[in-house]
Amino acid sequence: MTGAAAAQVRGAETFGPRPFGVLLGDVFTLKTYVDVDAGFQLDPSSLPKVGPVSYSLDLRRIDVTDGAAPNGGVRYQITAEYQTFYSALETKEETVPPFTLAFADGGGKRAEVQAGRWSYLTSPLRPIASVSGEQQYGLRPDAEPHAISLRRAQILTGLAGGATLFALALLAWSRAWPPFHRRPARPFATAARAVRKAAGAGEAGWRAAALALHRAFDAAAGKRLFGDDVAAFLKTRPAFARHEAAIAAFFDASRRAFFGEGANAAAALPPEQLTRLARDLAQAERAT
Amino acid sequence: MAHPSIAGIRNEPAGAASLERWREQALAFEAEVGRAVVGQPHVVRLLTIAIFARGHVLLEGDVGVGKTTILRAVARALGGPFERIEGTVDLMPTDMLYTAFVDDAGKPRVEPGPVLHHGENLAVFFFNEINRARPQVHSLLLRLMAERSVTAFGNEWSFPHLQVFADRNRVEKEETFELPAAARDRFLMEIGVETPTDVETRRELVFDPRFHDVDRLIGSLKEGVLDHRGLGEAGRAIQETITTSPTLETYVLALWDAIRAPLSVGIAIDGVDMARLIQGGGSPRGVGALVRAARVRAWLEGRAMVLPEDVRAVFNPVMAHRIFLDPIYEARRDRIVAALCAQVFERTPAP
Repeated sequence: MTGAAAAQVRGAETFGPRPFGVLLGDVFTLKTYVDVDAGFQLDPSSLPKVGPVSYSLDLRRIDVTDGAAPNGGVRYQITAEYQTFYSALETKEETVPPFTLAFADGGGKRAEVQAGRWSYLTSPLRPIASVSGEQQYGLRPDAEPHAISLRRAQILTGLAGGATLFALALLAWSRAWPPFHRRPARPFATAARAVRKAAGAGEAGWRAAALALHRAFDAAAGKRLFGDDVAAFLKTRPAFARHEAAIAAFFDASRRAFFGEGANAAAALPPEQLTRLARDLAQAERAT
Repeated sequence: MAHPSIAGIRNEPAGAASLERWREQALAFEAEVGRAVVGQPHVVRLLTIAIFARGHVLLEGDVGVGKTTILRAVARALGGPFERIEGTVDLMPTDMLYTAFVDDAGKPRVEPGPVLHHGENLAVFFFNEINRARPQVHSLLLRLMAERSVTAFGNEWSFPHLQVFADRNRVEKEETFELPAAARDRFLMEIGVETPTDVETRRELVFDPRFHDVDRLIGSLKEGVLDHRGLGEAGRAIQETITTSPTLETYVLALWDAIRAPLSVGIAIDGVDMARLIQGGGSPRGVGALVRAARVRAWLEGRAMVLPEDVRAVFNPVMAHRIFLDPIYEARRDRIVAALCAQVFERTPAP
């Protein structure tokens, strides 16, 4: 520090991190504070340039801020970030070289000051001697995969499933699938099965088949249907009207079989005809 | 069926051809009565059945629906001696048998009364307003109906062709005597006569002057379309010719069971305790009458066999008045018996 300059430059101090344990590749930041008298300003061109400072030390960044200093002066804070590439073979002291800062007032007066010098101990990078074989460096298990929460998807799936079931139930209801098949009973469908089984089995079978058909007529009419009531019945259930002649023939044959004098019933209405009538009626019933 | 039908073991009677002639006459008779009685074909049909079943008939209905006109028309078309009597509170049994008066010479005389007036040839005896007569009169009538005979002037009088028609209006209850159960059971049928509901028929009845003078109306009918003397024989022939199959016999017995024990076949009527409803439901005579009437109906329809339809057609007139109800239900009798009969037919399968 020159005498002339000292009058204007009040102090220059440099602070660094702990000055040891610095290894190859480490980055460290040095802060330099310079107080100058009022009227003096830092000459930015005197600041060191970013780039290699020596063959093993780089200056990565340099920032300057100014603030108020005691006695009306200006305090400059220069923050310099270095990275060392020095590959030490043993522990050794290294030095960050100082730089010279220039200050000038408006009247041509100049002052210079050296700052930024910092010494530190740098150490070599050494492998640690193995203590207990390779196990210590054995592969550790993979990290547990992080389970992504499926809760939202599960709720949505559940809702969709419920909606599907509900829609299916609605469909089944409208189509009268089980378990919603409580539609008006189909007496003729039941009778047609009984008739098909029994009609061919001789006189007794014919009678059983005719009785089954009679019961179906009773159920369809909601009362005991006699031969005289057939016309009125067909008026209320026009679906069966197409088979009017066959129905009349059936009632006629049934009268002769059940109430006549021992006539051969099957002769009046052959079993095939009886079966066909029952089947036709069951079909007509489905159409209603 | 293991056992033979009753019809099967009966001999085939002769005269099927004459029965056919009788049937034509019966239909002609119906048509003739129908000229005077409009809107009541159902009643005329039932009366025809009763005539050929040789049964007595009680007509029941409101005042002025034509009960008397119907019976007079039937009596006229039937031909044969006809006698009528009005039931009154002071009518005594002797009044039916004897007429007492003072003759020209001032001497009291007793001559045969309404029943005996025509001798044993009497064909129709018409008892008007039967429920106004006293029980003594009923009991005489009972004998006349059941046995077709009375004792008078120390002799037994028998009336082989007699048919009794009676009528009763159901409006009045004062100074009347309800017929005892035994008397009601003697009537083959109790026919309800209703006001015709058909508009055209009602218009005709009210506006056609033909119907205003009943005497002329009846007088215009042909007399004696049927030969009343042959009715007994024809009736017997019908009963022997028309067959009932074992199935029908089973059916009628099932109906009878259902009437006697409605609870056993699951009949239920609103507001009625079925367990105590029936006190007596159809006597054997009643069910016999049912079959008799059903046979005649089948014959009139031109069939040789009785069908359930025949039984149904005559069931209410023949059976309803023979069903005796617990007294607390008597007031609602009409509705209850109608519902009971309807349900009996609904529950009993046929064939």
